Amino acid sequence: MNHVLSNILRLAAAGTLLTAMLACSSSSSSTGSGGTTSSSSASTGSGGSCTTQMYAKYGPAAFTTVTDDLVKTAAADPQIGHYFAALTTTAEVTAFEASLDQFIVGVYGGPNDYTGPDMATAHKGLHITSADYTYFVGLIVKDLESNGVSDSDVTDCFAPPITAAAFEASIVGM
Amino acid sequence: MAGGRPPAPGRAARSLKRAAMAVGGFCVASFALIGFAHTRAGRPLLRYIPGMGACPMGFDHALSPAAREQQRARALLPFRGAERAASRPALGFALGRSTRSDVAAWQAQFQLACHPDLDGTETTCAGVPQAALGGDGGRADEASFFFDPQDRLVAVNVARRGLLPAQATQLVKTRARELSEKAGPSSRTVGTLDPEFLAPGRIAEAAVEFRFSDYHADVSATQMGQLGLMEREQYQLIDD
Repeated sequence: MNHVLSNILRLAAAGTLLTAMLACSSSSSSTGSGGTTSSSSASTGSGGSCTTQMYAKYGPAAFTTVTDDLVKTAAADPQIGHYFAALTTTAEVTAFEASLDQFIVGVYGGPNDYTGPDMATAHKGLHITSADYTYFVGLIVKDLESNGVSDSDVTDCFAPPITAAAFEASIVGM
Repeated sequence: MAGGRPPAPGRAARSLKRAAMAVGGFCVASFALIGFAHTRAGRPLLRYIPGMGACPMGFDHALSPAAREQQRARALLPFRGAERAASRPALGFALGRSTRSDVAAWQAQFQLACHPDLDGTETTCAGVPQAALGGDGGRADEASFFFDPQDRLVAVNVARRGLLPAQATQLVKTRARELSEKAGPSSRTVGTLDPEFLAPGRIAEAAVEFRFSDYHADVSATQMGQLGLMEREQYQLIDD
């Protein structure tokens, strides 16, 4: 009987351990995809009519500069930098910046070349909080201002898509 | 009674059944508890594991604390200045010198509601009163403290929400002046430190940034329309 009980206890311990490992591993794999902040233009708010004129107004080089600055600023932010921790090599950073640039260009009236995942999929498992999203929006605003985008364009043209409730909902809490 | 009668066969079977049911019940309860503790709703429970504050198996860490600190240090490289800061203030602490114990003592002194994140590299305190922060900036909605693997305080983030433009502007000016006096001159200003610049209905940020070879600080007020006005202070150690 002792032998049977011993085996049962071993089985129970192994099962418990396996459950813990599976649960932890599942969490790990989901958080390991940090750095994905690109989104689907289909899920963004439409903003004002000037939103889709921004690409023509500022041009591709300005968009690339803002995107690069945004990734650097966000990665260095103590509060949200860990979301970008998966970008450990130059190649990964470059690929991510290119993808983000494609998305942003598409939202603001440029070629719609973005082929990445939709918002909810891209942010699944990151557990981004509303506060963190607010921080990120703040960084976007700062980078736009730092790169010479006019105050009215920030408010009226660039901000509407990223401050739209539906867009935030597709990122926060995924 | 060493020579007593052996237990009846039925009695042994009942004992075995009881033992099996007890073990089975324990397993089900364990599975349920551990499983729940790894859901989003249940993850805060992991903080109550003594000395852990995280999944005891460690599998929920995308990065180790050391790797996370390396990532933070690497990400700060583009923001380094040429000169060393005269000091590295962050609220009442000194980055690189203050430790987790110092922050814990401060939390206890002001009876703050703080909780560590899952890997223990960060502690966030909600509703921090002005008395705990010093100065006249008012209550902070949250203050987060970041530690390296040696338990040194390496970064602090403070956020206040719902301020009026005049309050936020004044607060940024005050913090920037204090930082200039303690650490050294600012590196750049973004936007305009004027209440009108941060008026409701706009999306705008006014910020003052300090870049040193061993320290980085950024104080900002951001008007985000429906999301409200937020004042934010970031202080970070740069190991040189």
